[in-house]
Amino acid sequence: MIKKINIFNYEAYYLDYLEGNISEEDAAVLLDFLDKHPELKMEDEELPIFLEDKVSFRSLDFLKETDDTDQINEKNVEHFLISKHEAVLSKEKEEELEKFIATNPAAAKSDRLFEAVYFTPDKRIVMTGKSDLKKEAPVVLWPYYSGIAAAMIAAFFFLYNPSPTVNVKPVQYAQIDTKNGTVSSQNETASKPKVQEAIIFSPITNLFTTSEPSTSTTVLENGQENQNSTEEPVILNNQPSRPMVATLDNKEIVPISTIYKNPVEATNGNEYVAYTEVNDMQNPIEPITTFISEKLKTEIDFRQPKSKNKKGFLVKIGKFELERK
Amino acid sequence: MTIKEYNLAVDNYADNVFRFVLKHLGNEMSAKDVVQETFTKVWIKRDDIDHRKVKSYLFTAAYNTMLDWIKKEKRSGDIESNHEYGIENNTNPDLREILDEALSRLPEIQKSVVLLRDYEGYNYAEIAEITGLSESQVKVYIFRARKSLQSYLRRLDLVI
Repeated sequence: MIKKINIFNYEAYYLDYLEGNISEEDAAVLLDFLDKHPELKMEDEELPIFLEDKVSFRSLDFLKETDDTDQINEKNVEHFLISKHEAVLSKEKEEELEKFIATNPAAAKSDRLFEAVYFTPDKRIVMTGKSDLKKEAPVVLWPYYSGIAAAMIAAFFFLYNPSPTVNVKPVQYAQIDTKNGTVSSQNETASKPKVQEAIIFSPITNLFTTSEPSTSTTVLENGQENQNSTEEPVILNNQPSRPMVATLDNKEIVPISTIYKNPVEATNGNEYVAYTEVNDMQNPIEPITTFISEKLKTEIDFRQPKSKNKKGFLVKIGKFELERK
Repeated sequence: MTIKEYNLAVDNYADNVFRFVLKHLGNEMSAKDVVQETFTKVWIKRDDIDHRKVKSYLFTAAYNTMLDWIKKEKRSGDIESNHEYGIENNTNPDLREILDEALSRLPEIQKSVVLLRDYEGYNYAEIAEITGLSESQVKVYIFRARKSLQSYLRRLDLVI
């Protein structure tokens, strides 16, 4: 019951009236008040319209999935039409669908529309500059470099050595004392050769698979062995181009004329150094061989005697080595 | 995959990938960029790729590259789609244009699955592998896309 209505509280009653939540008596009081204050009365267009809520679960049907075994009807026919054009419909359902379409013009129209919503690629559209995507196989140059290097070396050799003669030198040995770990140079003859420059280096530990201290195995250059001890023989692990040869006074000796290593690298204290008179060999084309070695990442060396009176040469390409004295 | 097999993949599939990406982006330059990046990825990973599966790998890489590109361009607001290749080889070009318009209104994922299906003839399992979706998801997306396309045509009251 409205006790007193005025311009300060009328809105609440007005809203109740619009919503139908007011008694007839109160409505009469309100309408009487509005007649006295026509400026407060709302026109019809100003009034909010509360329509019946049309939203229903039917509008959310698209979220539902149709079971492929359901009977075809107007609500689910689109699912079966899509399945048909997607070629995932069973034979039985396809027959059922065709019957349904035959009796339902709307479904027939939908069928034609679904048939049209497929895309075909336009083969005229091609990517320009496709060849830029391709990769070329890397050209293997090392055989060419090797050929060039060999040709250069051969040409150099024949230009500077038109008639090479054989010059046999005494065999050089490195004498290794495995007890003390010392190395000394010794040749086959009693006279010690002139030693000036080291060009042959190798850690002794790398030369042997075992290093028994008092081994006295003798391997002669011609391949004969002389076992002076019952202990295990020392076996070359990194066999040089010549066989392991004689021993003197229980000291092992190895040939030293075919192992090459930079002298600077060999002086790190852990390596033994042997010396020989091969220092009278020189590389007259060192810049060329160095360049080729770097390019091919293969050791290339060419040496000739320093003295013009001496003949011979040494060519080394990787593991391949050719020597002429 | 050898260099020869890689180059063969360029010959066989570059146009296909290009058409797929172009249909999405509608811009030739952008599509070319995406294709080049795609093949670069394949080249880098060539040692791990079986040449018999390179097509699937290419489309997977293209799809992911394209999505990255779209995200990036959306952030910078530079997406420019001119659909210069909109008209396809079809007896009814008007319908094709309408369908292209309808396609452009689809969400990217629906567009992708429909194009992979229609352009390349992939089955649901293959599309799932390429897009990283499940097979049932692919089916749902394709069905929704077909329905959207059909509804678009219906709204225009086209007589097919």
